[in-house]
Amino acid sequence: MNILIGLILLAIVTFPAFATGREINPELLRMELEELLNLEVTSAAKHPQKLSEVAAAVFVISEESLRHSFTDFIPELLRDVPGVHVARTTASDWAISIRGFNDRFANKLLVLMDGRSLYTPLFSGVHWERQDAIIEDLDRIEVIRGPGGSLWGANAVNGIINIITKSAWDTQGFFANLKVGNEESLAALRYGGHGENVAYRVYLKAREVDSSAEIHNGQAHDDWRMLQGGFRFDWKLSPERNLRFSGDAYTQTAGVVQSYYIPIPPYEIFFADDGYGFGANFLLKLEEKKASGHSWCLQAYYDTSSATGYPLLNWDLDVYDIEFQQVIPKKNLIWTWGLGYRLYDTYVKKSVYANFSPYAFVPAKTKSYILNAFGQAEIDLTSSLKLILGSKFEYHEETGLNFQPTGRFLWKVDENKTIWGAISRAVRTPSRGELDAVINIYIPRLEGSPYPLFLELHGNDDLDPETLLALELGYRQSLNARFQYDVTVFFNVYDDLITVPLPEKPPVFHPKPWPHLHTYAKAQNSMDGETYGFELSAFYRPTSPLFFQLSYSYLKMFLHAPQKTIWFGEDQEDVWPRHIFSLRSCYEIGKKLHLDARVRYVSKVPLYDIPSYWATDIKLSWKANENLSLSFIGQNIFDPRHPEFGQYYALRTPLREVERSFFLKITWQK
Amino acid sequence: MRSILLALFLVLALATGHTFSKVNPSLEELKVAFVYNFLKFVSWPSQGTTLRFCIVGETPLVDYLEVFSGKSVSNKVIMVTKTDPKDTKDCQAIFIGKLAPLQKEKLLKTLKGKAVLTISDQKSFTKEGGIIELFLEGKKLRFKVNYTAAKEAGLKISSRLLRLAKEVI
Repeated sequence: MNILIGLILLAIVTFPAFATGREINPELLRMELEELLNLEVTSAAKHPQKLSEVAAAVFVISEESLRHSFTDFIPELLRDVPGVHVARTTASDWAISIRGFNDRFANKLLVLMDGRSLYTPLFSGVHWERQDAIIEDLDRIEVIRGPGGSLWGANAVNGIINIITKSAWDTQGFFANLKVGNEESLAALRYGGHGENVAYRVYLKAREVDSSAEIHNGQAHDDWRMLQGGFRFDWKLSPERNLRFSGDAYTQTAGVVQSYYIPIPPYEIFFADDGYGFGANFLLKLEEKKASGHSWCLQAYYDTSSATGYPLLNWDLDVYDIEFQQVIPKKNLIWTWGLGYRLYDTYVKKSVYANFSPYAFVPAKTKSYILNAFGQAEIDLTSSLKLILGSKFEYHEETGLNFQPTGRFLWKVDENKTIWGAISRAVRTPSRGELDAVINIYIPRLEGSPYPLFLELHGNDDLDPETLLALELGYRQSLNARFQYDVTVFFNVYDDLITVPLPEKPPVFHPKPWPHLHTYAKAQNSMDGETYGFELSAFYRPTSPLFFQLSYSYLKMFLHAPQKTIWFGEDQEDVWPRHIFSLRSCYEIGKKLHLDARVRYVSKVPLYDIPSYWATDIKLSWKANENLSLSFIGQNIFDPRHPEFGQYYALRTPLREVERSFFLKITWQK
Repeated sequence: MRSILLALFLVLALATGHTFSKVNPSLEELKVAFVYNFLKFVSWPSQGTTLRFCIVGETPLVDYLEVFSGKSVSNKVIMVTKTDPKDTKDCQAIFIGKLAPLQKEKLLKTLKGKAVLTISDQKSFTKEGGIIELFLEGKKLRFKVNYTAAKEAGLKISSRLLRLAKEVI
């Protein structure tokens, strides 16, 4: 439903959309009716979405952009988005965050697929390797930088990533593709059909990914395979009412290496094993949209997932969610309000290895719920100035009531220039890991001591949520229909950040079995900080078959803790690359040939000694006929291998490198 | 550095070269092109040099339909106006967007038997007495024609249009 809120948000800001005439491709008017009958529409979206009129930093990966992408991984698609750092850590893991604080379990962003939250309450983060779809069935990905707290709920602190699949009405007929390459191969099959009022699709996707490179050591043990299938039905109950029922299920096997600490040299040993992942979800959504702008939506979903066979921890997670929301347009005012309930049922199990060392969740099983309510008013002060006021109230069983207000304005200076600004508060609730986990950590050498330190880190169920106060200012301009750009500056103030301070009591020295230090520590809300940054995106289409897209982000982080921190502490200042740049071009050379290219740059990640890197990708596609197309894809073509991120803190694995890859992809559709 | 230069060169190389146009319409654009074609295949009993094309009800097409203004079909210059459903007496063709059911019923009743071509993308439009209904089939646009209603209105619809219709009632 959060997607719907987003859609409505976009739709309502475009509400008085009857402004000036829009252009139409003159060629269309010259075409014969027979030709028109053969054309396919790019999108069946009912509302024209004017991104230029949203009072937030929004970036959309459009269907066109998806068609020209270099990858079939959803996380990899985010590399062109300003403000986002995507780092592939192993063949099957990504560290992705927005506006700072990146980690494998980056916890300050909310990720949704068709309104279903992909955020795991266990580790607060996203299991990116488990989020898949046939890329050709994606409608778009919307990325909102900055807090969306007032509409979207907790954990939408630094941003929201919204993955939206196409309606079954837009995926009719047969589709099959096969991709083979040195690093990955996949096969996908989909069929869509329809009756008078109902359309459906069913799909199956299989993927095999080769291992990445281990620094100094050849190939890593992280190759993986997965199989996913799903369906979606879209009913038109009446012209204004739609019902959707969809579901997906997947199973995965992945080579996993996790570290385990022993108090004798070499202190850290790595266990390799095969982990099995399983997941399934079902979603039901009823929505009504009236021409008057009135709309409501009721959505419920169930999502279950599990991990077994991992070296240290395994888990079961069940999520039950039901949400309702309504939009009521009045004269010069649009009200949006909603209610939601979510239940998490979790079970985190120790593996055999973990019995030798403190590595567990206590208690192992928990049930917790979240209740939320939100309201927002969008007020037209004048024809060109809009004010948006709203707040979300969220009650978590563990952390109590949180409120997340926002105030925004949007000023249309003229037809082509928009200025917007926002001040918002957002919260991140502690994850189960932070509340209940016991983790054993090894620190090779504590300052001022020749011995290694073993730290038994305990979660803390008295933790408060982390809070953010964000100030944002944005400017958008379209110089003409061919060139647009968008600039955003922000200043974020964080409070109560969760970190682990070094305990005041000195560590205890143990001479046996080998000299080492040992201590206990507890997670605390004892850090605060600021980040500021600047983001730019520009789009230039000199002629209709050619476009360029540029994005650049700059960010600086400052963190302050009164005590020395040993885990997720002040050193996180250096986890974010200061500069991220990407430039891509898409060129249709005639009706049959497409050439896409991209160069991108990520500056160094000092915390992990990861050097800066440039990467270049190319893709050449040839449309043999109406049904068949072939593409050749090269990724990192000028670079045999490079690392993108370090060993993260929790559940450490050895450092991996991303390798050069080439693919051939065949797509057939009818 | 060499690879960066190569990469930049590659990107820039793409910027040059000749251009081809490719039609990749939005749903709105495509609907507008269909409507324009319909006007070509219908002949009105009345003579006259203008064709008054009215837009009634709420529709995103209103932004696009303006492109017809000033264009001519069968020696008639099209004039596009957005009108109130109660005020349609001068219209020769009407595109009907979203209207309250009662309003739509009333409008179709008023127009019954008059030489006015009614077009809409609303569901069951031809069943309710409208003449041409646009609808999506998968990603392609299709249309239905209510031939009985057209005859009653005294409009001549070319056989080519009828042949291309998905359904004629």
